[in-house]
Amino acid sequence: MQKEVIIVIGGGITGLTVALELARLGKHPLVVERGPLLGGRSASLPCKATDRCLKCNNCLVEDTLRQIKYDSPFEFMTHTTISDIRREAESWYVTLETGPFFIDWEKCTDCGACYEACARLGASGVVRGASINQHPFFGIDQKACSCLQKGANPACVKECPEGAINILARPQTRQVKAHGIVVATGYTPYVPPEKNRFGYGRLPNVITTQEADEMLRESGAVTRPSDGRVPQRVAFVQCVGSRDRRIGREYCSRICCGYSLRLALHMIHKYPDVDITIFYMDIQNFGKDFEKYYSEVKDKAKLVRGLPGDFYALDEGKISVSYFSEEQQKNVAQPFDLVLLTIGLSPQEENPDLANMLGLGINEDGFLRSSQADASAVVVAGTARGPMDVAECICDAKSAAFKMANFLEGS
Amino acid sequence: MTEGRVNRSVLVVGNGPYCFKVAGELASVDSVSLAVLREARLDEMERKPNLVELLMPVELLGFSGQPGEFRAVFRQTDGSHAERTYGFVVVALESEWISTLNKWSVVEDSRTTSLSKLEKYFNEYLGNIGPGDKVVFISGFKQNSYPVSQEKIVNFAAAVREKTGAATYVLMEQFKVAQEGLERAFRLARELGVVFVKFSQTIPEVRVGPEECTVQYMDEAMGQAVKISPQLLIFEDEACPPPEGRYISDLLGINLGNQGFLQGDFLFNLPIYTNRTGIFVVGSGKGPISEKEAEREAEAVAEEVAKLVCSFDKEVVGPFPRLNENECIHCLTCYRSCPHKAISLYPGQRSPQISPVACRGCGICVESCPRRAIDFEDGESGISYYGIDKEIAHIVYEDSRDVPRIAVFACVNSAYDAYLLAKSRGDRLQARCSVLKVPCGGRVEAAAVIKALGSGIDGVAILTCHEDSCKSVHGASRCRKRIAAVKEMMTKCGVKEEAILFGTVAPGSAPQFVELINRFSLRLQGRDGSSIIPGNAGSGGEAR
Repeated sequence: MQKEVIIVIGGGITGLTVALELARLGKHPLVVERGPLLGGRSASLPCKATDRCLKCNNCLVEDTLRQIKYDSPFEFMTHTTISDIRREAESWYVTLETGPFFIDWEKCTDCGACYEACARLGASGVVRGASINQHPFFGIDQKACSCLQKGANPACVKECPEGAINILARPQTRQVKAHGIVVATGYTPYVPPEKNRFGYGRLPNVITTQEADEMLRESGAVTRPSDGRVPQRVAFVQCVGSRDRRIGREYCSRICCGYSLRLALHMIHKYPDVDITIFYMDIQNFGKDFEKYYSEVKDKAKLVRGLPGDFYALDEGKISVSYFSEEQQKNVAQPFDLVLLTIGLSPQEENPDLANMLGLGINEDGFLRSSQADASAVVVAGTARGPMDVAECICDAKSAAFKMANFLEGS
Repeated sequence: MTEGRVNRSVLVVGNGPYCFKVAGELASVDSVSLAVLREARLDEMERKPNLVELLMPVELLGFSGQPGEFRAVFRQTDGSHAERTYGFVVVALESEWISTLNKWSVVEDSRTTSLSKLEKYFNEYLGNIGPGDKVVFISGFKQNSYPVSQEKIVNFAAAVREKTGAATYVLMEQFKVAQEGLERAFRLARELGVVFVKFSQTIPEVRVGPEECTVQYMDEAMGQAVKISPQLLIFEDEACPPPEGRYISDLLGINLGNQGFLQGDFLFNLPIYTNRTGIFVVGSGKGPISEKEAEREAEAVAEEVAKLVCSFDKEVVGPFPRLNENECIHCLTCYRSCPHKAISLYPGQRSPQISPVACRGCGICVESCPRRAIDFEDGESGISYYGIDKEIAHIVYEDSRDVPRIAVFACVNSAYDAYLLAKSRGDRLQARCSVLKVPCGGRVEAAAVIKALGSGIDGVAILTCHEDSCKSVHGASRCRKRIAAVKEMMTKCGVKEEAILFGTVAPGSAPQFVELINRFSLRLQGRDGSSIIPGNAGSGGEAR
């Protein structure tokens, strides 16, 4: 009997869990990831523990990646996009394009020679995983390659002892006949537009939580971009890119309250003198220990209801933030060393195209829906369906795998 | 496990309509029995008729065994006992919504009610309400509020406003909008004229007597005092753990969360696992969730069961502890210490039996056995008392002494990954380290730590997962307590305990791993300003 291939679009925590589950059921998933690495956004989330685990769920991602790295239970393709999908007689004919500039992960031994070669040139064309459980651990970011920009041959290609780095004239194509498709294309973090009232992009010490995450993972601390110092006074601004009808995001991103409260507790644990203010609209429940964490934050940080108005630059990289104080019944301005914008989850830009190609629905918020008519041949899972946290993505992925396996049994 | 003993049927334990749904999902996987602990409606059941057995109402009296051979004893209403064997168990208990009227010192009457009563008798309550009247909903303040109950509030408030034209108020602590479509529903209700008032500093005052029914509060945004006399006052209910939860968790040997909801508060239980292989928990018994989420969990558990059934056909791989019956003195320490209840005492057997399906290879039993009668089959002797000196010999006999020599016991689920990540990043450690991979902090033997220190190195670091994210539930906390005891003992013997470090590291936290080791290294060199140096254990711990 021919193998019943299931294409899983997206190599983030959802796609990987779907593939892992299907493989354990004896099915044949093929994960297609457009980026250079597996693990998606969740693989680079940092631990926010104090002396206890605050259940940011990031270890769940590590655990999934570890199983994949050591068992290699399914096939995957990185640096790969889908150029065409056709439906013919209960099957999908999918055309995949890899590269043209990519690392062949089957040859790659994760030695890091390419990364060093690229770093020596001061470029960041070769990217490195955030978790040791990511294999491949290195990948190519073609846009950031300085060699290609100069019209030269990339240095990494000849440095690779395994000959695993390919640079071809055009992308490598592959045709796959698939019996089902799982869409796990995830979300895109909201980026404040060029002109924004937070001063983001203009004031160096106004950063997004995604940037704070990267810093925490890379260096172990959230510091001020302007001088690398540990901030004394920190403001969190919640709901940036969420719950805002004017910008077309009339929904709660669900995970950001938990994120900020955890990060606040983490920072206070590490630097007990740090003074944290969280500007919020409403605090959403997060996790089973919600009450415990929430009351701890209320004790150790200042929670201000209402989002702030103006953000002005002060001396020494400080930012003046003005807001209405309900306690004092008047507007006040307060200086901060660092402002963190807690950005929401936005639907992927490609969602309408993807919906069109696969006959999927799209909800009012722009996230994907499985279509009613053909629900089982194409299943949508994870944050492609709407905002959810890592544990919910894993649960959703298991349920998607179950639906897909049932569909295959029935067909 | 012998093929003959493997049973692939599933027992679903529930207390309401949800468990019928779960059983329905599972029925497509394998044969399912449903034990309902009280009378519940049957309409879900009729939709999916392929249940093998329905026990309702039934009492679960006894439970034992391992995945593929769980044994359950029931007592039915007629007093008769039944014993059955199951492959897996799914706990699908539902939480309860309890009225909060007594918390507000309010007695229920025609003017005051709970949200669940309103849901049941909506038209009756609305019968007497007209355009000039006032209706007030109260959400939160005395209990935690959830999106599922606020969804009801916003829908009812909008319906009251639309149908009766009454002035409708919702007094609340927080909008809990973390659910699809809720933000929009709140806006639509506002557009209909429902007034939402949020509180963060104060609590509204409710007075209900024979003559009056008033709500007074301070509008925090406007800074004004407000008094309303509503014709109908509705209080949001409190979500409470399923009343059967404690008994069932005790009987099944699964951990309970700290608020009494099902599922122990351990990271790796998420989303639907328990500390026991083959036993799962789904639905609102873990805390209030939406119907959609509960449905997703039912599908996810069906997937888990299907996967476990597949795993029975495969050989057990990975490290597996073996018990030497000749050494066993039947003290049952292993049986008690196993966090996954993978060790059983079968009638007629001489020694405890370790289930290869349920065992997760943490090695806590190996560490806890006072007779050293349990060992891993694939020999990880390098981390045990017997092999530790050979394992770290390369740093013991290290010639260069410019940096301290440290043996690091690193948990494979966390610190060992962080170490590998630090190494691949090229991070510099200010110490000569021998990093030993351990299956869990709970596996680390006190004797091995002391022997390592006694072999002449400068320090021993034990780095584990954070408590609450330990894959072996209490592995990290056992380890912390054990190391504290070793330190205390060393102090009593006059040996400097600074040569031992216990720390917690996440798998992706390479910088934290480096920081811990480098700070420890400074401490060992007496350069952190706090303590003197232990030096070589052989030289009596004198300062260099």
